[in-house]
Amino acid sequence: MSVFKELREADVFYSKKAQMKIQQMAFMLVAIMIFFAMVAIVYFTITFSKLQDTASDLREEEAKELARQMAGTPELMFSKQASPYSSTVDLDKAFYIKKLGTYQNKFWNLDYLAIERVYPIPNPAKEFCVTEADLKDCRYLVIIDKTSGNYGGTQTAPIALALWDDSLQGDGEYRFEIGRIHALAHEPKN
Amino acid sequence: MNLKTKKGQEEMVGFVVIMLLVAIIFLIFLSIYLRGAAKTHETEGKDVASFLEAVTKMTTNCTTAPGYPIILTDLIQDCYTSPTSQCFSGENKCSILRASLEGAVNATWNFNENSPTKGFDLRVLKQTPDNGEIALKDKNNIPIEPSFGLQTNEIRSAEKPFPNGIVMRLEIYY
Repeated sequence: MSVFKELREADVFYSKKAQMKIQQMAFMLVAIMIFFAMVAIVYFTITFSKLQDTASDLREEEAKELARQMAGTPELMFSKQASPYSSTVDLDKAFYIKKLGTYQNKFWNLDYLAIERVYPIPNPAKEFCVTEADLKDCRYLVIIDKTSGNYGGTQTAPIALALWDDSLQGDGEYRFEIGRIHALAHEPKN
Repeated sequence: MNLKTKKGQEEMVGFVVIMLLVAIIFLIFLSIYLRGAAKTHETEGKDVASFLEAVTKMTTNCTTAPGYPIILTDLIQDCYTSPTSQCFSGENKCSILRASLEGAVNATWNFNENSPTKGFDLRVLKQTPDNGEIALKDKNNIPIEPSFGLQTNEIRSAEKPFPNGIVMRLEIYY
């Protein structure tokens, strides 16, 4: 009888030890799971932030492309003796385009379009080109402005500018400068 | 009692080994990631290419006679064929070339610590027959290599070829 009792006590002891081992393993598994979950969270957070950066870079690049394309439109592009100059904006042409109501509306679907003279550095006293006489040394020629002062998202691209200069070569000749085109696409309303 | 202590020690050693393995693997991944991030990242900049396209057409201050200015492309060729040649004003053509390029880059981009662009490096180079490159020099033997600001690892660059194997290369540091 005492032999059986001893055997039963040994069984209880071993099963308790096995339970402890199983519990230990379970805790270890949970700890490993938590560890890998944390690593995965960190990894996906970094990847997702990079993805967001890439998406915003692509959006910015697309908007910049719009600005570059605007410089190549026949309405703004400079051409001499029927040969077009790529990425060169005719400032005199742009000044007359500004006056035409057709381009102020939805022709280009833009909220903002401006040409900036960069180099040689324009006259700091003449920020905006208002009259034809201003074209000689003014800085900004705003063609379209429907932003109500909110210029966020406007993209720029360097361009060559051509403008007629009466003082060159006796009868006058085109002068080429460095400029920037600023464009903001019209946001579709929901 | 001795057996229990030994087993406990074994488990502790096992745990330490696992922790060390995980730490080593983590460090290996971290070093690979950091090495990739520290590498110089050079991409072709469309803005830089547009700028180079525009600057080549630019009318410079150098004139052959009053009212007859030279465009930058011709100024580069004149500087290459005759580094001592002068404009009508008496200034060295290569010096005017350097000043025009420097002025145009500085006016187009804003280089300071708070702006996204940190610096630039512009070179006007002549390709040699052995596929090497040498910088165009002015009359005082100073190369036409205007530069400014910090040189970071994030570079946007573009090249513009000219006749006679001349290349203009602009690197903008972000």
